[in-house]
Amino acid sequence: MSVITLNNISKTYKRGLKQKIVAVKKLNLRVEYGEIFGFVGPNGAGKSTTIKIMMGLIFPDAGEVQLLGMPYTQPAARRKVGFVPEQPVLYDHLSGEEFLYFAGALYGLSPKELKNRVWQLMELVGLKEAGKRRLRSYSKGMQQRLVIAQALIADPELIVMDEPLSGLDPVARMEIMDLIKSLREQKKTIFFSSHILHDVEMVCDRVALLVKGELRFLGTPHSIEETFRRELQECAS
Amino acid sequence: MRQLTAIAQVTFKEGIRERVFLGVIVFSVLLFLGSGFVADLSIGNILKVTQDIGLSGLSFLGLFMAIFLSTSLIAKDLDKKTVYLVVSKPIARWQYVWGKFLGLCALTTFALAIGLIAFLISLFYFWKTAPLIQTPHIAWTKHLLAFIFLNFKMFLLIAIAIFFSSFCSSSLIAFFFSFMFYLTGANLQNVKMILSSRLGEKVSPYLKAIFNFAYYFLPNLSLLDLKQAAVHNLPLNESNLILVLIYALSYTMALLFGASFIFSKKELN
Repeated sequence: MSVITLNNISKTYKRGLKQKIVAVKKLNLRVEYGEIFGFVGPNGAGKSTTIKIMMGLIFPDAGEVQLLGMPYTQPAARRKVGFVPEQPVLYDHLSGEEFLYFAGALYGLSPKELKNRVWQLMELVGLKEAGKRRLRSYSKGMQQRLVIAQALIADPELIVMDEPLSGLDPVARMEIMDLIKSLREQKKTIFFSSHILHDVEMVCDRVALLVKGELRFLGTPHSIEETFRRELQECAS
Repeated sequence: MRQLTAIAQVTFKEGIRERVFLGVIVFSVLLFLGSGFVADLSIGNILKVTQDIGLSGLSFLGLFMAIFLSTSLIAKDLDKKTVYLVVSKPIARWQYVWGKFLGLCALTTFALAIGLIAFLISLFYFWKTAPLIQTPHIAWTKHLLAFIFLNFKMFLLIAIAIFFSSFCSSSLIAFFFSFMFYLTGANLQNVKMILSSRLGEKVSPYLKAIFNFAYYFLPNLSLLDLKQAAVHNLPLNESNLILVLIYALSYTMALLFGASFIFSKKELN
Protein backbone atom coordinates (compact mmCIF):
# COMPACT_ATOMS: atom_id res chain seq x y z
CA MET A 1 0.00 0.00 0.00
CA SER A 2 1.37 3.43 -1.01
CA VAL A 3 1.20 6.51 1.18
CA ILE A 4 -0.17 8.61 -1.67
CA THR A 5 -1.98 7.18 -4.68
CA LEU A 6 -3.14 9.41 -7.51
CA ASN A 7 -4.99 7.59 -10.28
CA ASN A 8 -5.79 9.52 -13.47
CA ILE A 9 -6.35 12.85 -11.75
CA SER A 10 -7.63 15.65 -13.96
CA LYS A 11 -8.63 19.16 -13.07
CA THR A 12 -9.79 22.00 -15.30
CA TYR A 13 -10.50 25.55 -14.20
CA LYS A 14 -13.03 27.75 -15.91
CA ARG A 15 -11.97 31.30 -16.70
CA GLY A 16 -14.84 33.45 -17.84
CA LEU A 17 -17.72 31.84 -19.68
CA LYS A 18 -15.91 29.84 -22.31
CA GLN A 19 -12.20 29.61 -21.55
CA LYS A 20 -10.98 26.47 -19.80
CA ILE A 21 -7.53 25.93 -18.34
CA VAL A 22 -6.27 22.41 -17.86
CA ALA A 23 -4.39 22.46 -14.56
CA VAL A 24 -3.79 18.72 -14.17
CA LYS A 25 -4.15 16.09 -16.89
CA LYS A 26 -4.54 12.37 -16.14
CA LEU A 27 -1.90 12.35 -13.44
CA ASN A 28 -0.79 9.00 -12.02
CA LEU A 29 1.56 8.95 -9.07
CA ARG A 30 2.51 6.74 -6.14
CA VAL A 31 4.55 7.79 -3.14
CA GLU A 32 5.96 5.03 -0.95
CA TYR A 33 6.53 4.89 2.82
CA GLY A 34 9.60 6.65 4.20
CA GLU A 35 10.65 8.44 1.02
CA ILE A 36 11.13 12.13 0.43
CA PHE A 37 9.33 12.72 -2.80
CA GLY A 38 10.09 15.86 -4.79
CA PHE A 39 7.36 17.40 -6.89
CA VAL A 40 8.88 19.94 -9.25
CA GLY A 41 7.76 22.01 -12.16
CA PRO A 42 7.70 25.61 -13.35
CA ASN A 43 5.17 28.07 -11.96
CA GLY A 44 1.67 27.20 -13.13
CA ALA A 45 2.55 23.56 -13.78
CA GLY A 46 -0.28 22.28 -11.59
CA LYS A 47 1.72 21.39 -8.47
CA SER A 48 -0.40 23.39 -6.02
CA THR A 49 -3.61 22.19 -7.69
CA THR A 50 -2.50 18.57 -7.20
CA ILE A 51 -1.65 19.24 -3.56
CA LYS A 52 -4.96 21.02 -2.94
CA ILE A 53 -6.77 18.01 -4.38
CA MET A 54 -4.79 15.66 -2.14
CA MET A 55 -5.67 17.74 0.93
CA GLY A 56 -9.37 17.92 0.04
CA LEU A 57 -9.37 21.68 -0.54
CA ILE A 58 -10.57 21.33 -4.13
CA PHE A 59 -12.08 18.42 -6.02
CA PRO A 60 -10.80 16.67 -9.16
CA ASP A 61 -12.96 16.46 -12.28
CA ALA A 62 -11.90 12.85 -12.68
CA GLY A 63 -9.67 10.29 -11.00
CA GLU A 64 -9.11 8.76 -7.62
CA VAL A 65 -6.98 9.95 -4.69
CA GLN A 66 -5.97 7.89 -1.69
CA LEU A 67 -3.98 8.93 1.36
CA LEU A 68 -2.64 6.11 3.53
CA GLY A 69 -5.01 3.72 1.79
CA MET A 70 -8.16 5.77 2.38
CA PRO A 71 -10.16 7.97 -0.02
CA TYR A 72 -9.05 11.59 0.38
CA THR A 73 -12.62 12.78 0.99
CA GLN A 74 -12.76 10.99 4.36
CA PRO A 75 -11.52 13.20 7.20
CA ALA A 76 -9.96 10.08 8.75
CA ALA A 77 -7.57 9.91 5.77
CA ARG A 78 -5.94 13.10 7.04
CA ARG A 79 -5.51 11.88 10.63
CA LYS A 80 -1.85 11.01 10.05
CA VAL A 81 -1.16 13.73 7.51
CA GLY A 82 0.49 17.09 8.18
CA PHE A 83 0.15 19.90 5.66
CA VAL A 84 2.34 22.93 5.05
CA PRO A 85 0.48 25.18 2.59
CA GLU A 86 2.18 27.78 0.43
CA GLN A 87 2.54 31.07 2.32
CA PRO A 88 -0.55 30.86 4.51
CA VAL A 89 -1.60 33.76 6.73
CA LEU A 90 -1.98 32.72 10.34
CA TYR A 91 -4.40 33.96 12.99
CA ASP A 92 -2.82 37.33 13.89
CA HIS A 93 -4.13 37.53 17.42
CA LEU A 94 -3.15 34.06 18.64
CA SER A 95 0.22 33.27 20.20
CA GLY A 96 2.44 30.56 18.75
CA GLU A 97 1.56 28.30 21.67
CA GLU A 98 -2.20 28.87 21.24
CA PHE A 99 -1.92 28.14 17.53
CA LEU A 100 -0.22 24.79 18.13
CA TYR A 101 -2.84 23.85 20.74
CA PHE A 102 -5.49 24.72 18.18
CA ALA A 103 -3.83 22.59 15.48
CA GLY A 104 -3.54 19.69 17.91
CA ALA A 105 -7.19 19.98 18.95
CA LEU A 106 -8.18 19.76 15.27
CA TYR A 107 -6.49 16.34 15.24
CA GLY A 108 -8.61 15.43 18.26
CA LEU A 109 -5.74 15.65 20.78
CA SER A 110 -6.50 16.75 24.34
CA PRO A 111 -4.67 19.65 26.06
CA LYS A 112 -3.06 17.05 28.35
CA GLU A 113 -1.67 15.14 25.36
CA LEU A 114 -0.48 18.38 23.79
CA LYS A 115 1.19 19.89 26.85
CA ASN A 116 4.66 18.47 26.20
CA ARG A 117 4.29 18.10 22.44
CA VAL A 118 3.67 21.81 21.85
CA TRP A 119 6.87 22.94 23.56
CA GLN A 120 8.93 20.08 22.07
CA LEU A 121 7.92 21.29 18.63
CA MET A 122 8.51 24.91 19.55
CA GLU A 123 12.04 23.93 20.48
CA LEU A 124 12.48 21.81 17.35
CA VAL A 125 11.61 24.73 15.06
CA GLY A 126 13.54 27.24 17.20
CA LEU A 127 10.55 29.23 18.44
CA LYS A 128 10.64 28.43 22.14
CA GLU A 129 11.48 32.01 23.10
CA ALA A 130 8.68 33.40 20.92
CA GLY A 131 6.03 30.89 21.92
CA LYS A 132 3.96 33.32 24.00
CA ARG A 133 4.14 36.15 21.47
CA ARG A 134 1.27 37.04 19.15
CA LEU A 135 1.69 35.73 15.59
CA ARG A 136 1.40 39.17 14.02
CA SER A 137 4.82 39.96 15.51
CA TYR A 138 6.43 36.89 13.85
CA SER A 139 8.69 37.31 10.82
CA LYS A 140 7.93 35.36 7.66
CA GLY A 141 10.58 32.78 8.51
CA MET A 142 9.17 32.32 12.01
CA GLN A 143 5.64 31.91 10.63
CA GLN A 144 6.86 29.28 8.18
CA ARG A 145 8.60 27.37 10.97
CA LEU A 146 5.42 27.48 13.03
CA VAL A 147 3.42 26.17 10.07
CA ILE A 148 5.85 23.25 9.87
CA ALA A 149 5.47 22.70 13.62
CA GLN A 150 1.67 22.56 13.32
CA ALA A 151 2.03 19.99 10.53
CA LEU A 152 4.02 17.79 12.91
CA ILE A 153 1.73 18.19 15.94
CA ALA A 154 -0.03 14.82 15.59
CA ASP A 155 3.18 12.93 14.74
CA PRO A 156 2.06 12.33 11.14
CA GLU A 157 3.26 9.58 8.82
CA LEU A 158 2.99 11.84 5.79
CA ILE A 159 3.92 15.52 5.55
CA VAL A 160 2.82 17.41 2.46
CA MET A 161 4.79 20.62 1.85
CA ASP A 162 3.82 23.10 -0.82
CA GLU A 163 6.77 25.40 -1.60
CA PRO A 164 7.94 25.47 2.03
CA LEU A 165 11.04 27.50 1.15
CA SER A 166 9.46 30.23 -0.95
CA GLY A 167 10.10 33.77 0.20
CA LEU A 168 12.55 32.76 2.93
CA ASP A 169 16.02 34.20 3.48
CA PRO A 170 19.06 31.87 3.06
CA VAL A 171 19.40 31.20 6.80
CA ALA A 172 15.73 30.24 7.19
CA ARG A 173 15.99 28.06 4.06
CA MET A 174 18.94 26.18 5.52
CA GLU A 175 17.13 25.68 8.83
CA ILE A 176 14.06 24.25 7.12
CA MET A 177 16.21 22.01 4.91
CA ASP A 178 17.91 20.67 8.04
CA LEU A 179 14.49 20.09 9.59
CA ILE A 180 13.36 18.11 6.54
CA LYS A 181 16.55 16.02 6.74
CA SER A 182 15.88 15.31 10.42
CA LEU A 183 12.36 14.15 9.51
CA ARG A 184 13.88 11.69 7.07
CA GLU A 185 15.77 10.17 9.99
CA GLN A 186 12.43 9.70 11.77
CA LYS A 187 11.23 7.69 8.71
CA LYS A 188 8.55 10.21 7.81
CA THR A 189 7.21 10.32 4.28
CA ILE A 190 7.52 13.79 2.80
CA PHE A 191 5.86 15.14 -0.31
CA PHE A 192 7.94 18.20 -1.14
CA SER A 193 6.78 20.60 -3.83
CA SER A 194 9.09 23.23 -5.29
CA HIS A 195 9.82 25.04 -8.51
CA ILE A 196 13.52 25.18 -7.64
CA LEU A 197 15.31 22.05 -8.78
CA HIS A 198 18.31 22.58 -6.52
CA ASP A 199 16.12 22.45 -3.37
CA VAL A 200 14.64 19.14 -4.46
CA GLU A 201 18.00 17.65 -5.43
CA MET A 202 19.35 18.37 -1.95
CA VAL A 203 16.84 16.26 -0.02
CA CYS A 204 14.67 14.06 -2.23
CA ASP A 205 14.92 10.34 -2.95
CA ARG A 206 12.64 10.47 -5.98
CA VAL A 207 11.36 13.30 -8.11
CA ALA A 208 8.37 13.87 -10.36
CA LEU A 209 8.41 16.66 -12.92
CA LEU A 210 5.09 18.23 -13.80
CA VAL A 211 4.76 20.52 -16.82
CA LYS A 212 1.45 22.00 -17.98
CA GLY A 213 -0.40 19.54 -15.76
CA GLU A 214 1.29 16.46 -17.20
CA LEU A 215 3.85 14.15 -15.68
CA ARG A 216 7.00 14.44 -17.78
CA PHE A 217 9.55 12.68 -15.61
CA LEU A 218 9.69 10.33 -12.67
CA GLY A 219 13.02 9.14 -11.29
CA THR A 220 16.03 10.02 -9.17
CA PRO A 221 17.03 13.67 -8.66
CA HIS A 222 20.35 13.17 -10.45
CA SER A 223 18.75 12.12 -13.69
CA ILE A 224 16.16 14.88 -13.78
CA GLU A 225 18.35 17.90 -14.51
CA GLU A 226 18.56 17.45 -18.28
CA THR A 227 14.82 16.76 -18.62
CA PHE A 228 14.02 19.76 -16.42
CA ARG A 229 16.20 22.07 -18.51
CA ARG A 230 14.64 20.81 -21.75
CA GLU A 231 11.12 21.24 -20.39
CA LEU A 232 11.89 24.74 -19.14
CA GLN A 233 13.18 25.70 -22.59
CA GLU A 234 10.00 24.27 -24.07
CA CYS A 235 7.91 26.32 -21.65
CA ALA A 236 9.84 29.47 -22.47
CA SER A 237 9.50 29.00 -26.25
CA MET B 1 -16.64 17.58 19.47
CA ARG B 2 -13.11 18.67 20.43
CA GLN B 3 -12.57 20.00 16.88
CA LEU B 4 -15.81 21.97 17.01
CA THR B 5 -14.91 23.53 20.36
CA ALA B 6 -11.41 24.38 19.15
CA ILE B 7 -12.74 26.25 16.10
CA ALA B 8 -15.30 28.06 18.28
CA GLN B 9 -12.63 29.05 20.82
CA VAL B 10 -10.24 30.39 18.17
CA THR B 11 -13.06 32.34 16.51
CA PHE B 12 -13.96 33.87 19.86
CA LYS B 13 -10.33 34.72 20.69
CA GLU B 14 -9.67 36.21 17.26
CA GLY B 15 -12.84 38.28 17.46
CA ILE B 16 -12.32 39.53 20.98
CA ARG B 17 -8.75 40.63 20.21
CA GLU B 18 -9.78 42.58 17.10
CA ARG B 19 -9.36 46.32 17.54
CA VAL B 20 -12.74 46.92 15.92
CA PHE B 21 -14.38 44.77 18.58
CA LEU B 22 -12.74 46.65 21.44
CA GLY B 23 -13.57 50.00 19.83
CA VAL B 24 -17.24 49.10 19.44
CA ILE B 25 -17.46 47.82 23.02
CA VAL B 26 -15.92 50.99 24.50
CA PHE B 27 -18.19 53.17 22.34
CA SER B 28 -21.29 51.16 23.32
CA VAL B 29 -20.49 51.26 27.02
CA LEU B 30 -20.07 55.05 26.88
CA LEU B 31 -23.31 55.33 24.91
CA PHE B 32 -25.27 53.23 27.41
CA LEU B 33 -23.84 55.05 30.41
CA GLY B 34 -24.73 58.34 28.79
CA SER B 35 -28.18 57.26 27.58
CA GLY B 36 -29.88 58.65 30.70
CA PHE B 37 -28.34 62.05 30.13
CA VAL B 38 -29.56 62.02 26.53
CA ALA B 39 -33.02 61.00 27.79
CA ASP B 40 -32.90 63.89 30.24
CA LEU B 41 -33.01 66.28 27.27
CA SER B 42 -36.24 64.70 25.99
CA ILE B 43 -39.77 65.77 26.90
CA GLY B 44 -41.10 62.33 27.78
CA ASN B 45 -40.56 60.04 30.73
CA ILE B 46 -36.78 59.86 31.30
CA LEU B 47 -36.91 56.24 32.41
CA LYS B 48 -38.87 55.07 29.39
CA VAL B 49 -36.61 56.99 27.00
CA THR B 50 -33.53 55.56 28.76
CA GLN B 51 -34.92 52.04 28.34
CA ASP B 52 -35.76 52.72 24.70
CA ILE B 53 -32.29 54.05 23.92
CA GLY B 54 -30.62 51.26 25.86
CA LEU B 55 -32.49 48.38 24.22
CA SER B 56 -32.14 49.93 20.75
CA GLY B 57 -28.42 50.41 21.40
CA LEU B 58 -28.09 46.75 22.39
CA SER B 59 -29.88 45.81 19.20
CA PHE B 60 -27.44 47.85 17.08
CA LEU B 61 -24.45 46.45 18.96
CA GLY B 62 -25.69 42.91 18.31
CA LEU B 63 -26.38 43.72 14.67
CA PHE B 64 -22.82 44.95 14.20
CA MET B 65 -21.39 41.85 15.85
CA ALA B 66 -23.69 39.42 14.08
CA ILE B 67 -23.37 40.72 10.55
CA PHE B 68 -20.27 42.85 10.18
CA LEU B 69 -17.91 40.85 12.40
CA SER B 70 -19.24 37.47 11.20
CA THR B 71 -18.83 38.23 7.51
CA SER B 72 -15.44 39.88 7.99
CA LEU B 73 -13.98 37.11 10.19
CA ILE B 74 -15.08 34.37 7.78
CA ALA B 75 -13.87 36.35 4.76
CA LYS B 76 -10.52 36.83 6.48
CA ASP B 77 -10.19 33.06 6.85
CA LEU B 78 -11.06 32.43 3.22
CA ASP B 79 -9.23 35.34 1.56
CA LYS B 80 -6.01 34.90 3.49
CA LYS B 81 -6.19 31.12 3.12
CA THR B 82 -5.97 30.54 6.87
CA VAL B 83 -8.82 28.10 6.27
CA TYR B 84 -6.30 25.76 4.53
CA LEU B 85 -4.74 25.08 7.90
CA VAL B 86 -8.12 24.15 9.35
CA VAL B 87 -9.94 22.11 6.72
CA SER B 88 -6.82 20.13 5.77
CA LYS B 89 -7.00 18.57 9.24
CA PRO B 90 -9.12 15.45 9.94
CA ILE B 91 -12.33 17.43 10.25
CA ALA B 92 -15.46 17.57 8.11
CA ARG B 93 -16.37 20.89 6.50
CA TRP B 94 -19.61 21.09 8.48
CA GLN B 95 -17.53 21.17 11.68
CA TYR B 96 -15.82 24.32 10.44
CA VAL B 97 -19.20 25.97 9.75
CA TRP B 98 -20.72 25.02 13.11
CA GLY B 99 -17.53 25.84 15.00
CA LYS B 100 -17.49 29.32 13.47
CA PHE B 101 -21.16 29.73 14.33
CA LEU B 102 -20.66 28.77 17.98
CA GLY B 103 -17.64 31.06 18.31
CA LEU B 104 -19.49 34.00 16.78
CA CYS B 105 -22.52 33.36 19.00
CA ALA B 106 -20.27 33.39 22.09
CA LEU B 107 -18.61 36.58 20.87
CA THR B 108 -21.93 38.33 20.25
CA THR B 109 -23.41 37.21 23.58
CA PHE B 110 -20.28 38.41 25.36
CA ALA B 111 -20.50 41.83 23.68
CA LEU B 112 -24.22 42.08 24.43
CA ALA B 113 -23.65 41.10 28.07
CA ILE B 114 -21.11 43.92 28.50
CA GLY B 115 -23.56 46.32 26.85
CA LEU B 116 -26.38 45.05 29.08
CA ILE B 117 -24.37 45.62 32.26
CA ALA B 118 -23.59 49.22 31.21
CA PHE B 119 -27.25 49.75 30.28
CA LEU B 120 -28.51 48.32 33.59
CA ILE B 121 -26.11 50.50 35.60
CA SER B 122 -27.41 53.55 33.77
CA LEU B 123 -31.05 52.45 34.13
CA PHE B 124 -30.65 51.64 37.82
CA TYR B 125 -29.10 55.06 38.48
CA PHE B 126 -31.97 56.93 36.81
CA TRP B 127 -34.56 54.65 38.41
CA LYS B 128 -33.22 55.56 41.84
CA THR B 129 -32.96 59.28 41.06
CA ALA B 130 -36.12 59.69 38.94
CA PRO B 131 -38.65 62.27 40.19
CA LEU B 132 -41.62 60.69 41.96
CA ILE B 133 -44.00 62.23 39.45
CA GLN B 134 -42.74 59.76 36.87
CA THR B 135 -43.66 56.04 37.04
CA PRO B 136 -40.72 54.32 38.73
CA HIS B 137 -41.87 50.83 37.75
CA ILE B 138 -39.47 48.89 35.51
CA ALA B 139 -40.38 45.43 34.18
CA TRP B 140 -37.02 43.80 34.98
CA THR B 141 -38.13 40.27 33.99
CA LYS B 142 -39.34 41.51 30.63
CA HIS B 143 -36.02 43.28 30.14
CA LEU B 144 -34.27 39.98 30.76
CA LEU B 145 -36.60 38.23 28.32
CA ALA B 146 -36.02 40.96 25.74
CA PHE B 147 -32.25 40.40 26.16
CA ILE B 148 -32.59 36.62 25.74
CA PHE B 149 -34.72 37.03 22.63
CA LEU B 150 -32.29 39.61 21.28
CA ASN B 151 -29.55 36.98 21.58
CA PHE B 152 -31.63 34.46 19.63
CA LYS B 153 -32.25 37.10 16.98
CA MET B 154 -28.51 37.61 16.72
CA PHE B 155 -27.86 33.86 16.46
CA LEU B 156 -30.26 33.81 13.55
CA LEU B 157 -28.49 36.78 11.96
CA ILE B 158 -25.11 35.06 12.43
CA ALA B 159 -26.52 31.99 10.66
CA ILE B 160 -27.71 34.27 7.83
CA ALA B 161 -24.24 35.87 7.60
CA ILE B 162 -22.55 32.44 7.55
CA PHE B 163 -25.02 31.19 4.94
CA PHE B 164 -24.22 34.06 2.57
CA SER B 165 -20.48 33.86 3.34
CA SER B 166 -20.52 30.19 2.30
CA PHE B 167 -21.06 31.05 -1.35
CA CYS B 168 -20.58 34.81 -1.90
CA SER B 169 -17.28 35.67 -3.53
CA SER B 170 -16.58 38.67 -1.30
CA SER B 171 -17.34 39.70 2.26
CA LEU B 172 -18.95 42.92 1.01
CA ILE B 173 -21.55 41.00 -0.99
CA ALA B 174 -22.19 38.64 1.94
CA PHE B 175 -22.56 41.65 4.24
CA PHE B 176 -24.93 43.38 1.81
CA PHE B 177 -27.20 40.33 1.42
CA SER B 178 -27.21 39.68 5.18
CA PHE B 179 -28.10 43.27 5.92
CA MET B 180 -30.89 43.23 3.32
CA PHE B 181 -32.21 40.06 4.95
CA TYR B 182 -32.13 41.82 8.31
CA LEU B 183 -33.93 44.93 7.04
CA THR B 184 -36.61 42.86 5.33
CA GLY B 185 -37.00 40.46 8.26
CA ALA B 186 -37.29 43.29 10.78
CA ASN B 187 -40.07 45.00 8.82
CA LEU B 188 -42.15 42.07 7.55
CA GLN B 189 -44.71 42.39 10.33
CA ASN B 190 -45.21 46.13 9.79
CA VAL B 191 -45.66 45.70 6.05
CA LYS B 192 -48.18 42.89 6.63
CA MET B 193 -50.16 45.18 8.93
CA ILE B 194 -50.19 47.94 6.30
CA LEU B 195 -51.24 45.52 3.58
CA SER B 196 -54.11 44.19 5.72
CA SER B 197 -55.34 47.71 6.43
CA ARG B 198 -57.36 49.93 4.10
CA LEU B 199 -54.11 51.24 2.62
CA GLY B 200 -53.39 47.76 1.30
CA GLU B 201 -56.50 47.75 -0.88
CA LYS B 202 -54.70 49.91 -3.45
CA VAL B 203 -51.71 47.54 -3.72
CA SER B 204 -51.60 45.27 -6.77
CA PRO B 205 -52.42 41.57 -6.15
CA TYR B 206 -49.09 40.55 -7.76
CA LEU B 207 -47.16 42.66 -5.26
CA LYS B 208 -49.24 41.16 -2.46
CA ALA B 209 -48.43 37.65 -3.71
CA ILE B 210 -44.69 38.48 -3.76
CA PHE B 211 -44.98 39.87 -0.25
CA ASN B 212 -46.87 36.82 0.99
CA PHE B 213 -44.10 34.59 -0.38
CA ALA B 214 -41.48 36.76 1.36
CA TYR B 215 -43.50 36.77 4.58
CA TYR B 216 -43.50 32.99 4.87
CA PHE B 217 -40.04 32.43 3.37
CA LEU B 218 -37.88 35.12 5.01
CA PRO B 219 -37.14 35.15 8.75
CA ASN B 220 -39.62 37.28 10.66
CA LEU B 221 -37.19 39.02 12.99
CA SER B 222 -39.78 41.35 14.49
CA LEU B 223 -41.22 38.36 16.37
CA LEU B 224 -38.01 38.26 18.39
CA ASP B 225 -38.15 41.95 19.26
CA LEU B 226 -39.60 42.35 22.77
CA LYS B 227 -38.35 45.91 23.24
CA GLN B 228 -41.78 47.53 23.32
CA ALA B 229 -43.14 44.91 25.72
CA ALA B 230 -40.21 45.52 28.08
CA VAL B 231 -40.28 49.33 27.95
CA HIS B 232 -44.09 49.70 28.23
CA ASN B 233 -44.62 46.58 30.34
CA LEU B 234 -47.03 45.04 27.82
CA PRO B 235 -48.48 41.56 28.48
CA LEU B 236 -46.67 38.60 26.88
CA ASN B 237 -48.12 35.25 25.88
CA GLU B 238 -45.84 32.49 27.22
CA SER B 239 -46.83 29.77 24.76
CA ASN B 240 -46.42 32.24 21.92
CA LEU B 241 -42.92 33.04 23.12
CA ILE B 242 -41.98 29.35 23.14
CA LEU B 243 -43.26 28.98 19.57
CA VAL B 244 -41.23 32.00 18.51
CA LEU B 245 -38.10 30.49 20.04
CA ILE B 246 -38.72 27.17 18.23
CA TYR B 247 -39.25 29.13 15.00
CA ALA B 248 -35.97 31.05 15.45
CA LEU B 249 -33.98 27.92 16.32
CA SER B 250 -35.44 25.96 13.40
CA TYR B 251 -34.64 28.76 10.96
CA THR B 252 -31.10 29.05 12.35
CA MET B 253 -30.53 25.30 12.04
CA ALA B 254 -31.91 25.20 8.49
CA LEU B 255 -29.53 28.00 7.44
CA LEU B 256 -26.57 26.26 9.07
CA PHE B 257 -27.40 22.96 7.37
CA GLY B 258 -27.64 24.85 4.06
CA ALA B 259 -24.32 26.62 4.70
CA SER B 260 -22.66 23.31 5.67
CA PHE B 261 -23.87 21.67 2.46
CA ILE B 262 -22.69 24.56 0.26
CA PHE B 263 -19.36 24.81 2.07
CA SER B 264 -18.75 21.07 1.70
CA LYS B 265 -18.96 21.53 -2.09
CA LYS B 266 -16.96 24.76 -2.15
CA GLU B 267 -13.60 24.79 -3.90
CA LEU B 268 -11.08 26.52 -1.65
CA ASN B 269 -8.78 27.99 -4.29
